Amino acid sequence: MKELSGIVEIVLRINGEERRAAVRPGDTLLRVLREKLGLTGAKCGCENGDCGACTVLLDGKPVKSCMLLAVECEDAAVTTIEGLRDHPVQQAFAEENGFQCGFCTPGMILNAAALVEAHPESDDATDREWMQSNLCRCTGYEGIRNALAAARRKAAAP
Amino acid sequence: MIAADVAYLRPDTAEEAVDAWRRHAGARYLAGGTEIATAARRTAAFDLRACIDVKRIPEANVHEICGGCLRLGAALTLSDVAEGDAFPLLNAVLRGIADRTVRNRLTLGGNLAGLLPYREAALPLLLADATVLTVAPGADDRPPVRQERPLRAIFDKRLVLAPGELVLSFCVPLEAPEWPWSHYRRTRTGEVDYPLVTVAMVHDGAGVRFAVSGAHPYPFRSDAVDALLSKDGAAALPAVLEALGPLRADARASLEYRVALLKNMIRAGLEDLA
Ligand SMILES: Cc1cc2nc3c(=O)[nH]c(=O)nc-3n(C[C@H](O)[C@H](O)[C@H](O)COP(=O)(O)OP(=O)(O)OC[C@H]3O[C@@H](n4cnc5c(N)ncnc54)[C@H](O)[C@@H]3O)c2cc1C
Ligand code: FES
Ligand code: FES
Repeated sequence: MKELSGIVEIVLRINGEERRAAVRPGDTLLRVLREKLGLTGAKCGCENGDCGACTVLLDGKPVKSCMLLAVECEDAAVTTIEGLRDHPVQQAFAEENGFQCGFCTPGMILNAAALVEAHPESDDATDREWMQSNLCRCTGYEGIRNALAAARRKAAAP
Repeated sequence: MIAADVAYLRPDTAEEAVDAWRRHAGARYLAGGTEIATAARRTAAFDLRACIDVKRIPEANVHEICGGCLRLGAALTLSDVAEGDAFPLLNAVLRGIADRTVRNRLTLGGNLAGLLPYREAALPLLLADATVLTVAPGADDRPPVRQERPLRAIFDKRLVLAPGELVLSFCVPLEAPEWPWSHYRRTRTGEVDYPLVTVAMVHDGAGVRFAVSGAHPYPFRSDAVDALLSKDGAAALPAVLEALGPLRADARASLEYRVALLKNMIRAGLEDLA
């Protein structure tokens, strides 16, 4: 049985790299990413599971990093927005004005990237179900919908 | 951020988990962590001194049909369960809970054992007369005690567990997912919100079974209501409302609105099952 207390050093696999951090077992992944590892792409919105600004991928699945402990992630692959480089979903958000202030955007893009990967075909009900996990106070969502459609076209292009 | 200094324990077996609970005062089982992380951040009054992470216990991760039942591990996430096709009513109910990203962590056992009053996943399990496998610390130095009991026998508004008792899995009799079913859920704002009322109903061949969450500050199923609906259908609504007892009224919905929702949902559910 694994037992951790006090300040412990953990190794996380983030964006394909091994990153070491000294954490308390109660530290959330969000706080460790932002405050220990300088990965500030995941945003601290509500810290309550509601807004999705803190979304990262854990073994490819979107999760809210404000609600899980960093020590729970030791054997998993974590992807933050810093790990996506010119991804079709990023391009599409830029081209289709899928953001304004940009606060929700890292979480939106990671969720959308996982959605397009899991469901390459467009399906309105599935898109709604996934993207409802992220709130945007600026765009009215239309640009985000357009970006999702454009990302799918890019992903499908030969 | 969780201000308290907590220990983290990750047992490999159920017995190790209850042993860890015994050794650590103020320990809580950590499943999806969605409630623990938010409650511990919000208030120091939430006593959290150690988290016992139960997600890697193999028995809490089973997802299989065996021995005439569908066995669902308590540590399965709602997304994992809802992706299966074995129990359509359960899937429909789970898809209403929180949002998809949260459901990628939130567990079946956590939903039933948590503090928040809705516990919507309980509805299909109560209707199916599911059983629950638990393990609890033995008295004094005796070994841990395993028990498989009907969910309804240990569900009184919430799961009634002994101190340190850990839920390992739920077992659904295989005929239950075959029954005709109906599910209605209404929220105050968008689809992602706590329910004002969620109604789940099945027809087991002999009669109607009915369960509701949101109308009271806990999930509800009773034989008396099942009997009324089975005998008189929609004509039994006044008697059903009386049998349900006092309903919730709060800033999210008035009593009158909840009653109206409930009546409409029951009528629609009976039509679905007819
Ligand atoms: C953003 C958000 C939205 C939500 N929306 C809904 C909703 O729409 N409908 C609804 O019904 N609920 C909703 N909930 C409530 C949620 O289902 C509960 O908070 C649930 O407890 C979370 O499950 P978890 O696996 O994350 O539990 P955790 O946070 O890990 O644990 C919660 C509690 O259950 C105990 N526990 C967990 N697993 C076990 C086990 N196997 N045996 C014994 N005890 C155990 C823990 O010790 C702890 O006390 C929502 C929660 C959040 C955070
Ligand atoms: S900061 Fe995590 S959901 Fe809002
Ligand atoms: S772009 Fe400002 S919150 Fe979404």
